[in-house]
Amino acid sequence: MRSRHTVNHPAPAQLADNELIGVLRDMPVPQPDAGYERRVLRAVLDSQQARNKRPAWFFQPTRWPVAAAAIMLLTLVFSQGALRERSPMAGQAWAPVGQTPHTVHVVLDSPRQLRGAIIRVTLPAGAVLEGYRDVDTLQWQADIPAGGNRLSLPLLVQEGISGGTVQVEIEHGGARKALEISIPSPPDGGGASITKT
Amino acid sequence: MNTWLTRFFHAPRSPEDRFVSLVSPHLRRMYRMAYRWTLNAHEAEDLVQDVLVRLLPRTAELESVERLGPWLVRVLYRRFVDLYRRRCASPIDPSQSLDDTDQESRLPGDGGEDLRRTEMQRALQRALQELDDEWRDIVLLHDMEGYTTIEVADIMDISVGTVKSRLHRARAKLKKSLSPGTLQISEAC
Repeated sequence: MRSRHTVNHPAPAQLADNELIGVLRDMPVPQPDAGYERRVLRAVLDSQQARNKRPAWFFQPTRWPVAAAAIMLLTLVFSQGALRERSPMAGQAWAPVGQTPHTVHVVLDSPRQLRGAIIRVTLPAGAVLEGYRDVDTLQWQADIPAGGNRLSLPLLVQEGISGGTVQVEIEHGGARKALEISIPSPPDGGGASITKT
Repeated sequence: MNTWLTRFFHAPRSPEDRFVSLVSPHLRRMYRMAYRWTLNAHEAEDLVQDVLVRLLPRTAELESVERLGPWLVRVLYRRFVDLYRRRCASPIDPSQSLDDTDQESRLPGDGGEDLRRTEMQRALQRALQELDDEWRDIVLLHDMEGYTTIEVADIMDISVGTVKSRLHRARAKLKKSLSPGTLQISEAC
């Protein structure tokens, strides 16, 4: 059994700064276990993946319809030579998918997070976005994470229409970047067409 | 090809991989500081994880930081203040001491010099808890973890002069706590 009582201790009476610092630095901190780094990083990356499953991650406004398809078409963006586009900030790809919409992928690599960025999509005559057939300009506000981000636009082009450009603008902090994407002719035997009503 | 595209499509590593490479060397140091502040292993790990979750989307920003170690500790400190200090009157659980929890197994045996040092550490721990938050933070960062006064000033967002004056006063108070008549020694009956 131990008792606690007060005694005069000779050493600390004139404790110098360096002695005090020595005692302070020796005060123990338990080391985390061997799996600490792995466990923490796994949890952090898992939390990010969970967050990415939300549609908003790809700038998507409410009810945006193409999250899963956009992820799958990432390879197409690379393989179809879309990087040769004259875009100042993005690549695009066309998905020859029969009667489904052409999905245009706009890739934005932001060096930092852009909170509250305004994204505006302006469509040419004869083109609409699936789910927004009566709208030729769509605008919404979103946080754009740092790094690579992709905006997928499910484009429907009116039968007999070719050419025209889709304009994508991003505004943040008073700055603005714009991209014009040419709508190519639908591939032979493929491509989507709609009849506007 | 423009710069944006070049950077995006030629980048061989994902942002997540880059993030892991950036922060991995600093994880143990972050844990140490988190533990110094929270005095609890689980809360220290949770605090580090919380900060990293917030930083993951900012990988590009992290890459531009010149000295990432102190920068991460600054973020950690601010998050600690947000999560703990503003929530509680004191971040220190007064019931927690070197007598229990994680630190028990680290204490030396009952040998003479070891015991004296252990008792000094216990007295210091109590004295640290009695310091003002800002004074204690400076002691933790500067005297216990070895950050320079400039780094401490940057981490705590105060002037170097303030760091020095608070450090001086904090040390004086700590020394006083170890002066004759105040140091308690445990002895076997």
